[in-house]
Amino acid sequence: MADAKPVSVWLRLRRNPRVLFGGAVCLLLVLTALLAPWLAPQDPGQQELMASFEKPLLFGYAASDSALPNYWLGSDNLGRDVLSRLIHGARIAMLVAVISATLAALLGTLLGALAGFYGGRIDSLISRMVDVWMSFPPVLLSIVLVSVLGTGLWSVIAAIVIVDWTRFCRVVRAETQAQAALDYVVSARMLGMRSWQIVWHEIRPNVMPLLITLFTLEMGVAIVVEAILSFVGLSLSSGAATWGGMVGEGRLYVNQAPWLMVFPMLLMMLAVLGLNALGDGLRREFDPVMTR
Amino acid sequence: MNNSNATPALQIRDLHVEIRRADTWLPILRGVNFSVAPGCIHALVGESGGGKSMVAKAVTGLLPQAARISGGSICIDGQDVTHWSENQWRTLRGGAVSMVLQDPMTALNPVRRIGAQMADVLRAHTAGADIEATLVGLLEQVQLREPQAVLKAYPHQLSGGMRQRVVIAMAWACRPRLIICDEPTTALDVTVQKQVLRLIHRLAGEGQGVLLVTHDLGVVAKLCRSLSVIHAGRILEEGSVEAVFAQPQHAYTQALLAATPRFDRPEHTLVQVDDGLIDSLNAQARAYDSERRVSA
Repeated sequence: MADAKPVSVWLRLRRNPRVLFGGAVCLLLVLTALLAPWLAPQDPGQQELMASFEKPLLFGYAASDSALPNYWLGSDNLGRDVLSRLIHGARIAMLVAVISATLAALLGTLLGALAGFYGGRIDSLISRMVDVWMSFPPVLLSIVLVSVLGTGLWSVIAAIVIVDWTRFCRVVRAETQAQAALDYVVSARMLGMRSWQIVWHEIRPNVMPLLITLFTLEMGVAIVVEAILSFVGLSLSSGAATWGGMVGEGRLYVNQAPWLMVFPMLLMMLAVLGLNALGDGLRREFDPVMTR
Repeated sequence: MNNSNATPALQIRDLHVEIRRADTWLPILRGVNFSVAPGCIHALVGESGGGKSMVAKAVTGLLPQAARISGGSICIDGQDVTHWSENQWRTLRGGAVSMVLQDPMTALNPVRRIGAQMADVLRAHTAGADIEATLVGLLEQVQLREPQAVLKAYPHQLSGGMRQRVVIAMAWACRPRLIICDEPTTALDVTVQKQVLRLIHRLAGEGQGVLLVTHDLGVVAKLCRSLSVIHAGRILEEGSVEAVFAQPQHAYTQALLAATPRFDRPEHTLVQVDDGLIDSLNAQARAYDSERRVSA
């Protein structure tokens, strides 16, 4: 062959610090979410009114009573263990992130590919819809949606999908359009392939790197949106441990017990930073223009 | 081989194509006539914008959405396909008619292996059979060494000439009746051009009709049996290569031949086709349009 064997994709990705960092954070989050019941030292809903506002042991504070369990990251106003709530919160955050990003990707990609491949009226229709959609402020739109759909995990996921499919739609449309103009698509038509075969076999593999990148970014967005909805009390019932909900409740006691707000915020930042770094790193590796 | 009595692989009669621009229809092809016999390579020659590619698109059913066939007929292997639907075309493409595109760099999907792309053609048109063996046979026919390795390669691992051979193998895969080669060598360097042209010549000997769309008269002289000269959507001259090159009848053909760069000219100047000639040809085309509108 003309070229030497190309460096394998895995090897190349492993050398990229963004991918390494982002991948590690994601792996950690996924494992935490999967193993939450075994990792969490206590039941996240377990109240211990005698032990409210325990200071975090991790920072060298002594427990107020030696008979109490260890509150490594402190306890809240009802004496619930912050660490356990954070670990269980990762479950909901990852569940929302993965499911809503998947559904948004499916919906957006389907419509984007249709618009990009067929063009003409279908394209104008879908593109105008996306334009109108994106002119709504996303946070406001999702809050309105949840108040219409009612609270609960599935409403939150539906709200995120309905707000964010446009992101995928635009990108996939543009890329499909660019790919469909290339000769290999004409060749495929010349060889007697059907439209859906061309989209699936010829164009999809070329759009895939972009989709993977966008997917990781979307997961970060979903985590933030879920946190916003929990913060304003429109996500799961208040008893459930969600990061946004913890920030919202902790806000009331911020002078007394700042750790209630600080830890979930730090964790959210880490998660979003990790996902964005992963997405950015993948984009740099996959995008032929950016790889020098 | 003389098949002039057999059914022509392609026969175009008085073909008119128009393109919509705002609310008017602009004529693009104005009564194109020619035919391609099986086993023959027929050249369609002309400058850019003359309508060469529109003819190629019309005979593969790939006219842009804004274009329509407003008159005449296209027959492929005796079958009238003038007003076929996309579904009907699909059964024909790859099977009875196929195409070699200009640029082998973009004609293959960059993220799929050669073998997978070639297999698609066979699967679309032939049932079962040993696909792997057929593919190896095809690649051997286009004189690619190590066909097994080529099948496993991605397009970027092959050179331009190798890729164009793969594209040609795909076009020939189902033994179509008609193959359109749209400037198949323009994107290749000169030494590779020669090999690819030889290959097309050899494959055409198997009985397929080949329509070669080009502006390279050197290629036409070496490769083709007959040619049509097209300008502003009209066929200006038609005939066998020997006759037209020896005694071009139309002033435009003479000008084209004179404009072919030659190394034996004392000073290496490039001759242009005279502007006055082009103007008068365009005026003729417009006169033809208005005449047609009146008679219609």
